[in-house]
Amino acid sequence: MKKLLLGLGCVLLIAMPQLASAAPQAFDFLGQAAIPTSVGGALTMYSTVQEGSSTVVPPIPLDFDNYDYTIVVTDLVLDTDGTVQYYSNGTIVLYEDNSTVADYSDLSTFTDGTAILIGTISTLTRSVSTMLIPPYTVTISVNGTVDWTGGTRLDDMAPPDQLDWSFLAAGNTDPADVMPGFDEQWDGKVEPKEEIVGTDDASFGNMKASFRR
Amino acid sequence: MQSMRLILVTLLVAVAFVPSVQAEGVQIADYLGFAWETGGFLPSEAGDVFSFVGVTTDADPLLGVDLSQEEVTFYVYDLVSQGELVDNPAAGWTTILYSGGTLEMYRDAAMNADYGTYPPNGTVPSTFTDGTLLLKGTFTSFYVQIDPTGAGTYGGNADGVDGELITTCTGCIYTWGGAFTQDAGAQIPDGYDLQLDGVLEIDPAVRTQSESAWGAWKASYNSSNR
Repeated sequence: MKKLLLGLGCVLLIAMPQLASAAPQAFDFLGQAAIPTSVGGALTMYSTVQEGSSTVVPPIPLDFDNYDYTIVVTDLVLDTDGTVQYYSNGTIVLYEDNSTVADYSDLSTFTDGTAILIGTISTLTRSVSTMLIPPYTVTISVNGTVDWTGGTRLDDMAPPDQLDWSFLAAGNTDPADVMPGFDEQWDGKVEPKEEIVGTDDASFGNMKASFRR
Repeated sequence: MQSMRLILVTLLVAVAFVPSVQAEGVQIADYLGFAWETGGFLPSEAGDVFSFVGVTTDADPLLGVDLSQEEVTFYVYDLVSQGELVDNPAAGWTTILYSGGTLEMYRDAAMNADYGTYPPNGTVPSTFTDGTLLLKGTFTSFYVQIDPTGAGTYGGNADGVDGELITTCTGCIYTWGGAFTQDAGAQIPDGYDLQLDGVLEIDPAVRTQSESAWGAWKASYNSSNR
């Protein structure tokens, strides 16, 4: 009977849907994108990472008191053009830097510092829709997939947690918000689809003891 | 002498409303939050009510807020769906226009914003509406568009009607950003329908009412009426 109850308890623990009330995790960015004019061209984006808040936290701990963080996307190749554009095989890097302030008039200020996460954007779609009814707004939506493959902080995440992140953004072409040399302002984030759990160092002996308990 | 003072005050007001350096940008807050609609989203049925709470992740110095000491929160409510339509069949986007709606923005040293689950709940909207009212606006337009992947955008215009930042102005507030469902790969707390990641903009002609300029104007007004 005890075994039956224990088994039932285990099943319930596994099957109970998790109530997601923990703070969502994301690298929240605001940046500038240059859009290629023809197939084969490459999209680039330079952005600064926002510190976030207690309600949205970076997926790995970042030290905003002492460092600035930037996200840079390069070499994202336009494969198919149209109102929905399809891109592939871009590179995304999250930099940590405490020496220069990111400045859109000098893009090297976005790529100095330490590359703490390096990844690939395997696919990305950029959809442009012009509303046919008032207010006739032109809207731009961006949706891609990121796999982290390198960087000094890659090991802060377990291997399964490094893959299949979402790259989500909205685009804005208001000239007041677009910097010279760019085509769109992007407000977005890179986020895991599920919460990344931090790691704790423990000896094998401690782990075995925990298991026995 | 009284009329002279009045002229001076009028001049001061005029100076305060002159747009400052345009290159500063009109975006005063970058925020991220979550939205829900009565009856769920999608579909969005006519009459469903859309609400949203969010927290600022980056603020322009014009706000005069140190985000390490205070949080700036948003609460949007009473946006009534006009029903969804496929506005642009070639792209497959679903568009929903809304009527009504109010935006409120608060600064709060308690830093207690908590989404919880299944809003409204014990912390939503209460932990997003405590503190000092920075800005209150009534929407004159609002839309949400979602593409077939579950990613989309939203935007809206509002008139300023109250708040520490601005009191009244017409068509002076604009907010836009990305709207993402769980299908798009966005993390969304249980009971919410959308993640919204956006920017709040204020018309350059009114955003010059920084706290110091406004305070100086009020001081001048008070002294002229003594």
